[in-house]
Amino acid sequence: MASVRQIARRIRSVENTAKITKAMAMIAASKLRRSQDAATQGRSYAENMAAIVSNVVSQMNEDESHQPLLESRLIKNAGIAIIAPDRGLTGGLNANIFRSVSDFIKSQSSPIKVVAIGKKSVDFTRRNDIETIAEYTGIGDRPGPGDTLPIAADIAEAFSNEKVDSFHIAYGQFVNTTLQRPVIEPLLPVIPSEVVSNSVGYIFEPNAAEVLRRLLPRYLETLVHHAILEGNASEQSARMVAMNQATDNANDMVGDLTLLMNKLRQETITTELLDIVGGVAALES
Amino acid sequence: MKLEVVTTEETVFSEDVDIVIAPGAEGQLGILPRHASLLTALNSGDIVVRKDGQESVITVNGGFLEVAGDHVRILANSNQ
Repeated sequence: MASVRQIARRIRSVENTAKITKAMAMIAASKLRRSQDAATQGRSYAENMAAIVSNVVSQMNEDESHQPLLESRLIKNAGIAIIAPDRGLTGGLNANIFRSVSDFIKSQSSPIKVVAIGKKSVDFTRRNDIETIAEYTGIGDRPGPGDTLPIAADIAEAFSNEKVDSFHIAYGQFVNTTLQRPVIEPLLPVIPSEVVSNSVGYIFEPNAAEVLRRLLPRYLETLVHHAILEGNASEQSARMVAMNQATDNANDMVGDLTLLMNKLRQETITTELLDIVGGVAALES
Repeated sequence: MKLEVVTTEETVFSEDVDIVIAPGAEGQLGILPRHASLLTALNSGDIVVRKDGQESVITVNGGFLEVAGDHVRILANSNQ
């Protein structure tokens, strides 16, 4: 049985843990606001871009649409970009992302090559002995276009060089503060989404092929950039929730331990009193 | 005619306008209401917007301009 003093020490240690987790939750909360803004504000650009691309691609004819990023080939090697946080303490988020990636890899019949984004993602490829094309860590909480452009460029290059014949992207989609969903979306070759009903016959300047040649890399960059922003918002919200939970748990634990300590102290006092009373009674008789 | 200018970070401009003058890949182009559907790359430069005689200027670092129906969308590259 632990002594009163041991329990007191334990309580202090748990209280300190609670302070740390509380501070981490508050940091995550303040970062979350900015990450969330960035992710939601960028959505408009990403959606507009997707609408234009699908409009253009759907009205291209065969030889105009011959673009390296549109080419569908027989898949000999499949590529996937995995976006995961640099740090842990995000509750189940990382585990969920990697579980769905593992399932995806198992479902592919061809060898997998990975572009790992985030330290946890690099760790994942090492642990599972997966070949990587490129690794990026330390992108930070506020990635600008300059941070994400090289990633998109690497992906485009690997695809154009036929190192891989398809590309997916995996990240934690930010649904709301308590819900982040791991998603895997196809990236390359660019497949035009369903033809929009009000699809319009465009005039292209300078010409369709040239516009498309400039548009597609931008489209890829946008998708990658947006996925990273989403991943970031997911990371911060997952960490905030996990750390709030940890703080609550620590406070519960302090309550339980304090109760235990008081009981123990009372017990000690009672036994001591009994001893004294017993001793007095023995002397008197 | 509605003009929307968006960058990867934010929506810069979203208002009704009378005319848009943009630095297209093939030279300056002015867009008035009821313009035919058009998609062009943009060079770096200034987009001039006029509304009721009021003029405003938005600087872009390249991007794309789309005209569809009565809607002009400009996807501007970020200035970084």
